[in-house]
Amino acid sequence: MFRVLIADKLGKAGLDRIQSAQDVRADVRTGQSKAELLKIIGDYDAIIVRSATKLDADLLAAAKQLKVVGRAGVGVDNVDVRAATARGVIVMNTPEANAIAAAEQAMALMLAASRYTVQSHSLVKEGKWDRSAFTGIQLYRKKLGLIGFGRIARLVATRAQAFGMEVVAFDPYVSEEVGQEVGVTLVDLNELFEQADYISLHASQSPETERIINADTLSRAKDGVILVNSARGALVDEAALAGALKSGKVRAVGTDVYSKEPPTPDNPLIGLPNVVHTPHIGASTVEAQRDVSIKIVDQVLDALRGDDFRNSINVPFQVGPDYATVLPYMTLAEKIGALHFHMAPAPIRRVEVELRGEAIEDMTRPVAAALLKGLLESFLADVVNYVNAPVLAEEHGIAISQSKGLSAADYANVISCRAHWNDGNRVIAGVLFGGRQPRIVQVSHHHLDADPTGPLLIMLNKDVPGVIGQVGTILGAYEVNIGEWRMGRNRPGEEALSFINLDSEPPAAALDALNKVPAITKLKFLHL
Amino acid sequence: MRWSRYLHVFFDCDSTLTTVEGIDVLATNAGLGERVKELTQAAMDGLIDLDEIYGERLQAINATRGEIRALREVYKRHAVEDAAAVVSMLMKLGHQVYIISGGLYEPVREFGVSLGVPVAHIRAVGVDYDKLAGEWWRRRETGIDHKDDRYLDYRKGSLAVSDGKADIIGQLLSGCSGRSLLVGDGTSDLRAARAVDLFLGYGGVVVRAAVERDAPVFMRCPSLAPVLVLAAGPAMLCKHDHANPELVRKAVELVTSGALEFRDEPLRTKFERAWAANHGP
Repeated sequence: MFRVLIADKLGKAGLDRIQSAQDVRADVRTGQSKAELLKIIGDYDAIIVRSATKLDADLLAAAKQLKVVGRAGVGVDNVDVRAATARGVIVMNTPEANAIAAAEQAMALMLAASRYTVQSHSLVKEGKWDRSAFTGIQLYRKKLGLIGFGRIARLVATRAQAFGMEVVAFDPYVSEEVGQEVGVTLVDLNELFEQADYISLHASQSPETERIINADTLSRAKDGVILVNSARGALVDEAALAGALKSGKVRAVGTDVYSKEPPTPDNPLIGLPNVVHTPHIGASTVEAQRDVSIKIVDQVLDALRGDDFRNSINVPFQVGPDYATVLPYMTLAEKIGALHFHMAPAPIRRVEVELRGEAIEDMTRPVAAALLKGLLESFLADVVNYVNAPVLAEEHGIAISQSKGLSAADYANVISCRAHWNDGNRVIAGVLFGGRQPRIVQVSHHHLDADPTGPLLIMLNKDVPGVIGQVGTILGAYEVNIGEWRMGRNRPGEEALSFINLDSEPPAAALDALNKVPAITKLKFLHL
Repeated sequence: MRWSRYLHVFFDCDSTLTTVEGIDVLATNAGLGERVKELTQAAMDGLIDLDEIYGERLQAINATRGEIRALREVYKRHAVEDAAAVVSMLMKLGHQVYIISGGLYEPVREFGVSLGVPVAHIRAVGVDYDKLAGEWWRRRETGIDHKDDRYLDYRKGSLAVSDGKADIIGQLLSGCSGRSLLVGDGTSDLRAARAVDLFLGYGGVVVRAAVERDAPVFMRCPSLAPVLVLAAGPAMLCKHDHANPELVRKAVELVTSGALEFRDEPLRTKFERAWAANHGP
């Protein structure tokens, strides 16, 4: 039975859904103080929040059972994602559910800023009637510049086109074809500022986009430009924008977001006559809230059940419908990681990974995370999962990189990994048979076909007559049955490598006896 | 005299459609400008084989996917005069337009698409990235690519060697009818001349001695407009219902003032007769 804490107000549709799940006990406890949360958070496998609950490092440290944080919405500023990641806690949000609401809000602000909707409303409400004071401008035949061209911006583009606007966009990470599909020309930032009659912000917050609207960029904008921000307050230098509004450079502004929310009274935009304000309600529609509540509940439950991790922001790879295809390769990678740990003569300092083959070349990150998990959980007492494995690897001084040409193993889809220690290295390569069964096909220069599953003896021996018989006899004497014996050797008489699958764990005395066989140069028992 | 049109028009990218050399831009950004520029120059001049230096330059630059991707903007900003208009007009006239480049695929493709060239007609050198560079686990992955991935290796193939463009052109033309024209500035373009019916050496950005000497036609004006005349033929340009009459006027003026330098005498004669028949006094 999974226990889920719903710490902020969640839409009814989502609540109904989680409460009807058979394998979940969901408690709704909204408005809790940090002290109250600290007392109870340790009992829960998952917690669903909106923006009110602040999940800081202290709370995450106390959340011993916690596996998933679900944010019903987009921004995760209220969650210490770094701390969650180090603890292996998945953080997920619902980036898509708000998109239409956000796009419509941008349009609403654009229209309201153009037509004095708010200012004229106030006057009429006060009983005044002045039609001449409110001559607005039309969107029709104006050029809209979108900064950021993701999902929401594309929705804004099609809506603006319906108003007869020409749309250009700046987004260095979007392909020209995407723009052409929706009739939007991708331009550089300078061109956008020079050409746009309206500018609408849709970029995520990053060092590249913070204060992208500033005194310098505004000076390059057309006189009388209208700016709309329904994305992030940090994208705008508010003082510079206020200056441009006062000078008339910027005709009007519609903003749903602020550098600090709620905005402090000294926010330079507050009180200016040609600004339309809304209190960060871009996502606040009945439909969006319903969709968000359903989506976050489904995502959290899927993640708890291990079915899927979509919209996780800290699982180090994209997961979704193809997770079922990736999973067997991740299992194989975990086994390669564990084998490396057990076979390395000294602490591993660096691993190189190569994925060769059309079916797997896009799986680098999930495979790398799984490989590190297999390697680390062989010696770490902490919980290691796909979320924290890369962090823990870094903390333990294990670097990882992608490489090419590691293995010559001639298979369609092969995962190869070279582990380096201070004075040596080893390549282990594996494949899946029949799409599911892990097989080790190369260890150093030995080529073989071994099943890395269950109790396993790995043995290096001189290739002389009688070794197999002696090993069989010793294990037989201790009633350990051999399930499978796979051997690789390059030439008769040289060193041979064996993977011997056992049906049960051999007692220490059996291993001692095996170690005394003169032809055996190295022997390692492990359980994979 | 009739000038048969060249249905298939192949353009090189760097120093032909755009005034920059993409790899040199990356090198300059990485603080390795001079060294890499010398290598590129030597390869373009045919002094060393491209395949010898291709990987070496990219390894030294060690660019991220984001830096490589950002070349698109540099390409677009430095597009050669009239490049987009010429591509657009050629396509309107029913020509097949291609870009064959030894540059890096992603920015060349994006630049090409922005000019209106179909993606299926764009060939350049693909790159593999190290998706495990830096703090890869902290990045929100969108799709399979991320801007902080670092260069790992280039995809070996015909375009990363000095003598490889002919193969690619041959593949693209396989099964197609119609004559072909290649426009380019470098010796790798000159060497691919055998794969097409006509090679136009372009010296509007950089003049390379071997190309200037050996190309059957050479052009050194900063605008690509005269390409229209060669590709579509003087007769086509006499029609008055063009979508872009200004471009046609410019092309005619440039050709009239000698923009096309013929090294091949029979070709010159043929062209001059065709030109005179349509634009003569």
